[in-house]
Amino acid sequence: MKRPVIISVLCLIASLAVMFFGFRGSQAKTPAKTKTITLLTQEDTGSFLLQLRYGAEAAAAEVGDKLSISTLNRDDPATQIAALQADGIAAILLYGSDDALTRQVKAVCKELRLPLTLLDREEVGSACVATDETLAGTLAVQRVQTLGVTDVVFLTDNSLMAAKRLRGATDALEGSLADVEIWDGWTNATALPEKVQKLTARGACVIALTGDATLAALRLQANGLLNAANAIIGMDPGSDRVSLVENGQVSALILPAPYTMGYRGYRLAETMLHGGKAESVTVEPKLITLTNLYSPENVKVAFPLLQ
Amino acid sequence: MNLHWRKNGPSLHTLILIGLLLFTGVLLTFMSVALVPFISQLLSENAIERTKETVLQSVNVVDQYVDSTLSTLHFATSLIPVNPETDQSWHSQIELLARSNPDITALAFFDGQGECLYATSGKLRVGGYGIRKRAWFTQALIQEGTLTCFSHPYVQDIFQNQHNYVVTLSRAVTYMSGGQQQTGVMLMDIDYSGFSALTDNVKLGDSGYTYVLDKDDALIAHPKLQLIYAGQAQENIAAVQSQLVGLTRDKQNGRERVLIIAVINQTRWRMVGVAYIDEILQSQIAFIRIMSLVLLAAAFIALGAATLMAYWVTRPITHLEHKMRKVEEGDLNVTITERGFSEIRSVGTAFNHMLTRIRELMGQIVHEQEMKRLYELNALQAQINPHFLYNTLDSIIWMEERGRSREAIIMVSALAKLFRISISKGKSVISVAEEIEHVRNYVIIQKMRFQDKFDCDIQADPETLKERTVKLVLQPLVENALNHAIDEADGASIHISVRASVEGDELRFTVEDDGVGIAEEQLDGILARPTGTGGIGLRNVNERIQLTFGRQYGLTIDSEEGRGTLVTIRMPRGKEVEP
Repeated sequence: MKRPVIISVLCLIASLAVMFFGFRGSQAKTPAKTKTITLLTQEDTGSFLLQLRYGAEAAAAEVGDKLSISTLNRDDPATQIAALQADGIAAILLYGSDDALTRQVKAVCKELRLPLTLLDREEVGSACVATDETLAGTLAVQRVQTLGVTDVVFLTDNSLMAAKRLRGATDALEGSLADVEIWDGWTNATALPEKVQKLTARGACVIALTGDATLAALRLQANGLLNAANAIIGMDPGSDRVSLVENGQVSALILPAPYTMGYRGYRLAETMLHGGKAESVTVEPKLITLTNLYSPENVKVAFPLLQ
Repeated sequence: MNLHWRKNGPSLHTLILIGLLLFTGVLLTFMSVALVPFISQLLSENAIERTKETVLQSVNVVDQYVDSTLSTLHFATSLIPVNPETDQSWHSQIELLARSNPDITALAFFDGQGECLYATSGKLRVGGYGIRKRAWFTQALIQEGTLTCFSHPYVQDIFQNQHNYVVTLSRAVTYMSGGQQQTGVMLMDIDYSGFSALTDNVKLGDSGYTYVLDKDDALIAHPKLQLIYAGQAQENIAAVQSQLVGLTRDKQNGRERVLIIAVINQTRWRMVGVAYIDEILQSQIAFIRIMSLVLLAAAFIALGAATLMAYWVTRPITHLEHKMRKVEEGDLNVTITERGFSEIRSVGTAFNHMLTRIRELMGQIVHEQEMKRLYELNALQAQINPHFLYNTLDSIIWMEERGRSREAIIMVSALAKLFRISISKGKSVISVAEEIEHVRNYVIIQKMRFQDKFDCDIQADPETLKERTVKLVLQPLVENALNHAIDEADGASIHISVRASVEGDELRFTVEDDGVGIAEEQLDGILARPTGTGGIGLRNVNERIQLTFGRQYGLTIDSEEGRGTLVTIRMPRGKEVEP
């Protein structure tokens, strides 16, 4: 065959190749593969879990991924997680308070090389998202200062969380002239200790550093051991939070932000899937008062069941 | 190539190829530089226009929703009787209206003091004092029924054990109480999720969205409203603050966005459509990609087509040039195949005619030259060697002086016959018998001169005698043999044998001697030697035979040094030749 004919045939082949591979390349541009991250929960219900889910779903929607939710099999978490991984789960968000079960899940995920992010739990060396408990204490003190009260009674217990909150509060009080009393004997108390009594008589503010302590403060209030002048600032009181504020039983509540926690947890898992390191993320709690209770900013925190 | 171009100029093939490629290149460049950006711009404007249309449609949907809601509120207010405190028939109608619309979470009517005359959501946890402090209440009274007030989204707190995330619409309503005209306020709570769904579900590209701002640029609705409140997302509201309606652009997280702003009529809220440029211009990017592919493929096709066309156009010319080059190299037997364009075919035809004419002329010239040469050779051969004549005459004188008249007469007679045959009335072809006679006379003369130096035996087959031959072909051969014999034979006598025979269609003469022979290195060049050196007689004979009968005939010499030489003459039998 003559050289020009060969060149022409080669050019024709080249043009066909350009069109074929070019168009195939553009058609082959399929969207990135959607991955699924599972929110594994030890509890089945609850507004906190609901908001965690909404937050994680918002983060998943942002990146075009999916979130699935499963209840943790307490009897055999290893088999359950292996099955989830076999189904193509890319990472796990774990929400639960059972320490032993959490350890099991961590061990299984480590063995299966499955990224794990702990929600509402802070553990050194693990990827986790938790409320900034120190800030909770600080916010409580700020509320006290807003009320113009100088004396404070802390109802606390020996938990790590309460200790962190207390540290945040005392740090915030540092340098002030407040008279402070830390009381941890409030369980089933029918009378106030002398120092506490003295301070409450002077209109001291009561900061309950845990949910149980808040309920105890309310009980003391109902029993007349605390009077109307003793503003109660509670934390994690449970489902009656709105009415407590609306009815003036508490001056303020410090509430965690599960929606933000779910969102940050998912983003952290996403970061780890892309090679990021496992880090500890803290989420700011919200100070809820009668003034800001109904504002849109606090809807997810104060009214977690509202759509 | 440059050197070739400087010397001969570019070839036609190259010129056509470059011309076509330049034309195609200019065309493709025009398309890529002018047409593609133009269409691309059109697509871009079209994409933004489509996005704008989508946002405006969304605004229309929200407008319709608001209109519908306002109609419901107007209807609700129309249900309020003149004396709502005494006439309670409207309660059930209001209740029915609230139940018929799932987006309505509450309908309530308050007197001017904020006391609730009726509410669909049960008891209130707030008294008249609390109601009077609510913005929706005070603003409705200020506007005195001319306008409907829209609140921001918030959690409704006035009802016992009931919290809804709502937008409140309120409107002042006049009624009679105690014989006096009073102004109350009708409240209608609309579930926020119903409203936000209208904007949240609007998709502009893959990740574009819409959001709603109130007249104070506060966010009313946004797909990431909670994330913004939680500080996990941001919205660049500043980019649209100074613009009531229209289109603007901004950049967020490194991505350029187009912001389309439209007003929701009844509420004086603004809806902002956010579309990411890289997403809405996907069709433009796809167009540019496809055009690039098409242009690249077109460039390849153009290259191939140009190569093929240049080859197709120039092939007959190249063919012609090739044939002409052969002619230039001396091959006149070339014939050009007439093909290609009519012009090229005409050139081919003319060239073929020219070649035919050249061949004819060349043949004519060659023939003339050959004839001329033949005449020259004949003339040369016809001349009697002066030395031979002088020596012969000298011998005759010597014989007469010695009284050997008889021998002198024989010699004179032989010489006379030699001359007669040599002349042959000017003919160049004679009979073999005459040729034999001629050589025999020559041998007689030389025999008488050189006595015992040689002996010669001449024999001709009888059938050869009537054959015709180029004249004077044997005598030069015998003379040549004799000259070598006398010069080099070291005094010994040599024998020369002359034969004439017929071999098939050929007439053959052989002249053989047993003299000193010819060295092999000399043998090859004898017949090829240029004129003027030794062997003139042999070459003359050979040339005359070939000019007369063709190159396939002539002389062949076989010789072995010290053993003798055999010269063979071949020529055709019965060949009619010109005299």
